[in-house]
Amino acid sequence: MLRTAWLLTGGDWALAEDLAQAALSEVWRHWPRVSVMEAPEAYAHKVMLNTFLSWRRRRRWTAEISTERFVVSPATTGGFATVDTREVLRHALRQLTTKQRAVITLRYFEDRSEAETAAILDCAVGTVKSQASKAIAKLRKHPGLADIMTGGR
Amino acid sequence: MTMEEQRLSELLKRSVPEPPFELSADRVTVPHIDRSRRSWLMPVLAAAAVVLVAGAGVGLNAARHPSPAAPSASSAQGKAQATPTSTATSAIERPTEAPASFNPLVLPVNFGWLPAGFTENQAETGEFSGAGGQIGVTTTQASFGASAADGRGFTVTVAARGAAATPRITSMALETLDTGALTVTGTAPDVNGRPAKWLADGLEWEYANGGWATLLGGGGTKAQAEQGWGNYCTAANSCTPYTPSAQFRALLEKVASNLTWTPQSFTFPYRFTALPSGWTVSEVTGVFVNGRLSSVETNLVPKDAPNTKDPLNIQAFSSGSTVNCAGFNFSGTTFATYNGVTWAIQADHSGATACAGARMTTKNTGSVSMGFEQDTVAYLPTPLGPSGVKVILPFFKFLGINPVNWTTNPFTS
Repeated sequence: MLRTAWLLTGGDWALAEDLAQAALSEVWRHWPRVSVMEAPEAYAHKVMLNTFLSWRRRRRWTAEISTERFVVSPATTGGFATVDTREVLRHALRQLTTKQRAVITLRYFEDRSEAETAAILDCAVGTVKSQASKAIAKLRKHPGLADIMTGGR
Repeated sequence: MTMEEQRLSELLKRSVPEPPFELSADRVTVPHIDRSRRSWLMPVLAAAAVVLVAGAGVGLNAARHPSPAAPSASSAQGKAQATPTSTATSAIERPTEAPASFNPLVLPVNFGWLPAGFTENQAETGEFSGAGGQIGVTTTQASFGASAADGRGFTVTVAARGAAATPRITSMALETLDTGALTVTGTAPDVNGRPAKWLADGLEWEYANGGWATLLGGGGTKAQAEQGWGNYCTAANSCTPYTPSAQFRALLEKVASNLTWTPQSFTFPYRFTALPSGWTVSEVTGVFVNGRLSSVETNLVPKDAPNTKDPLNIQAFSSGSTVNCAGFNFSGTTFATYNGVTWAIQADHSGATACAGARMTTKNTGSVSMGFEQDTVAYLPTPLGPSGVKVILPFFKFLGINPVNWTTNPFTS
């Protein structure tokens, strides 16, 4: 759940934990009902996705905004390659809309079919296809991911 | 699935890290999003954390599932300051006598109740008293703020005994506090049995013998102001006074009367090995995101210009690097190693502004990022580019990414 939340939140562990905890607290509240479900993990999963999609971008009431990403370009130093790919991915994910992120997460991280994804997100299969297509197009244009997406490396 | 989709799938599975290795019930028993529901939310979240530890990555699975057990002890039991989000210690009663000073590394008091939809966002314990080149250990006031998604907010400033509260406005949008906000407009009902006064945009009350606190509200739209929520000020700081509504004042009274004197220590992922020559500490700021203390900022000022409004701002962030460098263009990454820690550094300064970030690179999933920012470069011996960051970094001993090892006092060796 946390890894999925990490993707949904654009690689923000703090938010990912909040998201997972919010979902699990909801599950806890309804535990008598959830416990008799055939697949409570699927229910928790869906609660988390719905929670994520319902979150609105919060405007901080502060003059010292400190939420800008520290963008890191891929380093040529081998030892940092993994970390930097992750950083680039985090940055790229944040360029996507929340719905696009949800589609990408379900389709390509959790390997769910288009129909399953549509059912979870409560939308049409066509919407899943178009959101995925737009998301991939955005990721393809990201300078740090272009080579990876097109098979360049 | 196309080849491109396949590559994306492989990238995601390869890049998404394992969850942080430290996740304890303590982590979620800190002040959270909606304090108005605190009474039930806290045990729920604590229990959820236990579920999370047990079921992270696999969800919940059993044919008929027993109720998750309530937490008996966190995984960090016995370890001091186990969480980067500050540790709530035992609650204390409201003081009878106001303290003569506060420890600037501890937020002494905080919201105990907030209206639904409001979230704490920032706390400051400022005004270190540097004497003889030593870092001061006391401060005379602390402030903290909360906001709602629609821009409305509260800010509280608590002053030490005999000190006049200077309400801090950094936790409020600057345009929301006009010079008339502190004008006393009448006598308010007692707060917890102590005298109180209405201000144009808030409430001032004696929280203990000899100590006064100020609560201001504002930041809303013109329509909200017309309905009685504080004044309305344009971005140009042109303010129009409106009469506070009874509902607004009732909220002020409730927020004020429910402050909790539960100290929260700020935690830092570093210690200063020394302060740069000619500099002293002016302020510590805790930044709350969604009600969680997510980072700590330390401000340094030149000793010969202690009143500058442009300190060198040092930010430290645990996971989710969020260095405040909006508007800067980083062109490349350089690396530097100090005290065994390798940092990826990006920096930019142009014209009169400068900003730089340094990210600790490790094989682990967590991270610590440092940010350095100063609007003018006049006070810096070296411009805040990569070389400037390399001048600053040696002044820190970094304590790693595991919050268990962090400190509540970065100024002691």
